[in-house]
Amino acid sequence: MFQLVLSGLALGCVYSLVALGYHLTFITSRTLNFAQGSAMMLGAVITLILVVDFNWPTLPATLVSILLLGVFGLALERFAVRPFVRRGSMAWVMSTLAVGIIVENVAQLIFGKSPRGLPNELAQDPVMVGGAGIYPLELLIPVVVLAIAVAARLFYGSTMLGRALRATAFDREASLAVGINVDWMIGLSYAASSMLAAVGGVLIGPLIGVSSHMGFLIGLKAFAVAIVGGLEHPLGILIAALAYGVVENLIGGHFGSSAKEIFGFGLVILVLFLRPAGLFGRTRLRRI
Amino acid sequence: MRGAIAGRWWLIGITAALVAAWLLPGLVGRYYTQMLALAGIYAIVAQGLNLLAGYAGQTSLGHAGFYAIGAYCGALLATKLGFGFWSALPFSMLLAGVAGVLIAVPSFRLEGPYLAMVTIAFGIIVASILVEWSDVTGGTQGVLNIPRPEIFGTRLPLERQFVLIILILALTTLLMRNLMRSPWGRAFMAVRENPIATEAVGLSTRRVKTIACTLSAALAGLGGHLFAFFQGFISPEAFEFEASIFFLTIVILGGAGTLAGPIVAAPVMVFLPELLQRFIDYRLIIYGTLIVAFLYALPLGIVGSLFRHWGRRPAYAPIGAAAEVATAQPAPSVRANTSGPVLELEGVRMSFGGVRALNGVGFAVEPGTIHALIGPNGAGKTVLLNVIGGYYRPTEGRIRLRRRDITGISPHAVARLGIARTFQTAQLFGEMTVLENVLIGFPGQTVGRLLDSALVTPRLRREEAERVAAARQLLDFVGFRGDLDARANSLPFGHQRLVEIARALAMNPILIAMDEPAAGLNRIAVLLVEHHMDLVMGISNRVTVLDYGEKIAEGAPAEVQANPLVIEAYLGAEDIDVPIAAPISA
Repeated sequence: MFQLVLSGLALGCVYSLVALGYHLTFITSRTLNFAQGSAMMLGAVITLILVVDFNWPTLPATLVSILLLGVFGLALERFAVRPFVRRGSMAWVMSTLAVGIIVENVAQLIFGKSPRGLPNELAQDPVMVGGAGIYPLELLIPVVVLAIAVAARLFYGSTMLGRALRATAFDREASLAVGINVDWMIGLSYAASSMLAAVGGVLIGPLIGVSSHMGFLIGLKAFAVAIVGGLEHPLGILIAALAYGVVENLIGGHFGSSAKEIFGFGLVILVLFLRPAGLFGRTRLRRI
Repeated sequence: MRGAIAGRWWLIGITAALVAAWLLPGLVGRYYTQMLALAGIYAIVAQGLNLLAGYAGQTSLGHAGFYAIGAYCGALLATKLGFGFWSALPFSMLLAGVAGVLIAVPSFRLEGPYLAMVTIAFGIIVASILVEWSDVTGGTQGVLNIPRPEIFGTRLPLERQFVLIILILALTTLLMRNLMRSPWGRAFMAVRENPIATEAVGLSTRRVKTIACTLSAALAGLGGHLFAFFQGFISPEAFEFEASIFFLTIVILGGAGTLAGPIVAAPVMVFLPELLQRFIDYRLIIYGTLIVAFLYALPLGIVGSLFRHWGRRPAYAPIGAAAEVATAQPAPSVRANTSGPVLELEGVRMSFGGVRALNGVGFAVEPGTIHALIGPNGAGKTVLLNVIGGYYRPTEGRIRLRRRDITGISPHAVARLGIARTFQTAQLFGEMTVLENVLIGFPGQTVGRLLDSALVTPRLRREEAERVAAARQLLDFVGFRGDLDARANSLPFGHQRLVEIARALAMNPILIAMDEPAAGLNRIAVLLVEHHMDLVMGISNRVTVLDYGEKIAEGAPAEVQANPLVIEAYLGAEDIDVPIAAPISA
């Protein structure tokens, strides 16, 4: 039980990283990157290739992988999102999904179909915490997420770039008027969202194994928690993600994995029925 | 005469499609017939999704769920309870339709990504249940040995199944065509174009969305049913999230909100992977790239882009437009006046968080009068109209229309009871024509009349012809002289306003509440919000002045003009020396 809760928290932290990516692109551009799950997978796959096939140490491999995903995010925004947003079209839904399909299949081509383990010293010998066996990595995950949250807070609050990002999120027109390069800000939000996903992939890879389709369901669940938490509320997303991870693990532990999805997504529908803008979002009064 | 000939085009179309379907298998062989039949099934599902996502603007990323329900319902009824293709068909559509209602209800208040999430969740739940509930669904094995469709006791061979599928596709397309040219089609597009205005003309957005979702789900169920009996076996893989994306891709690739879009795009999506067969490893990569390229090159989809190229709008003339009815229509009639005020407000308060926008406003609008509501910017005039219209529920106070309490009822109910509304910036249905924008205002054309719309009954033809004639008159009456088939969003603002007023008149209201129309009307009680003082003072019978959410004066125009409180509210206190030469129009 306690073990399920702890590993559920770790899982929830990974959801929150991917989910915050949806949040980032949504606030800057009102678009969502449906290739988030694939970005997460790509982060894990690149790290694994560097560590296993090229014998790099884990840390530099992780950093390089995260940086590459930043470039991926920039390119994705430039070529699969911006052209459609410019026209006021919703086609970015299909195009980001399509990029997800492309990435997944490129990965499968290079990587093969079967999952591989991402070796990590922290995921080899479980330690005992309060009577539950748990990998040190699962304890590290919340620490990493917390560190990222604090760093993001500082970045937003006290750097010019952070302020420009916030301004873009707050009012696009006004930001343009004061000389903020809004396109660049949106590009950056895509880069940041892909990098967050990559961190999630590197963290979860050693625990669940790395494969070309590992990102699909996690990407959808991250979207679910982003919605349930309220797309514009990072704290709400974090709470929703942790709750989802724990609840899902408990249900999965008792009733099996299909039941987990049925209950999990059923709960999502129920929450949205009761709170149409998510648990922490507020329905705005429409100005007429 | 024209109506009679135009009415037969669909018969010719269906006959041509059937003849082609009869001959084609002999020409292309068994394999391609199978592929074409699949494309036909996908086109039916996409046609349904197009109704919801294309016409009604409610994107679903979970249509594979409805498709699965139709498929499994048909398959299980046939294999476990001995039903045939035909006897199981209504149940498959019904069950999928019921699921549609179940999804529509929790989604009423949802928009954009939040709505998408519910549909995704629904699709995943259905797919998971198919695997989990293996006692019934056969789990990952699925259902085998589904009997082929029969007609008069003979099992149909593949070639004839293909004809059957094309027949059903032709009928669903006809149904869609009928719907989109009639009142319900207008309602679907109205929800997509402008939910606020939809409510303002007395249509319940909830009802319209529910009907759209139900019909759409039932068509997906029909497609699933066909798929199960055509394949002879089904398993859960065919109904996963990817299938939902696949259907949405067909809709968007063909052109969302175009009738022919799904029929054109479904074969493309079926044959594209076939063409890529020899690059088997790269198949999905090329597939994804082509989707992005298509989206890029054809922003309106294949059919939508062609229409744009020919300068045509991918919509259909209303049924009545073709009929040349010369019947003289009575000019807009006014409902029988009874004595006493039309509208009464009593102590209406409205707070937004801590901000008090209205602070105990009360006044009455007498029948047949023009009642102006004036006040400086931020006085709460528009808020008051929104409260009257049901868009905001007042924090306190009562609103009565003809002595009937209407406080807190929804905007479409207010509209149906007889308050028409025009908005500060005209709220039209942008992609719909001028004529359609006015037609949608006439009451009593949708509720309980879905079959009329779907089948285009003689009664509907007659009524539509009358409505078209009346709409023309109304547009003429308000002084609109432009193109009736122009898209509303292509009009200059002044013309948009005229169309909006004609639409409000079409509703045959007791009261018109106009927010800064700068145009007058008589015969109906009018509640007017306006800044142009010369206009207000010139046409109004009575004027109510608001400031900081409170009524500070009321009376005949001349009295109000002389009221020191009003002067102060508009000009500030006396000691501020501002030279004023003209009436204030803030």
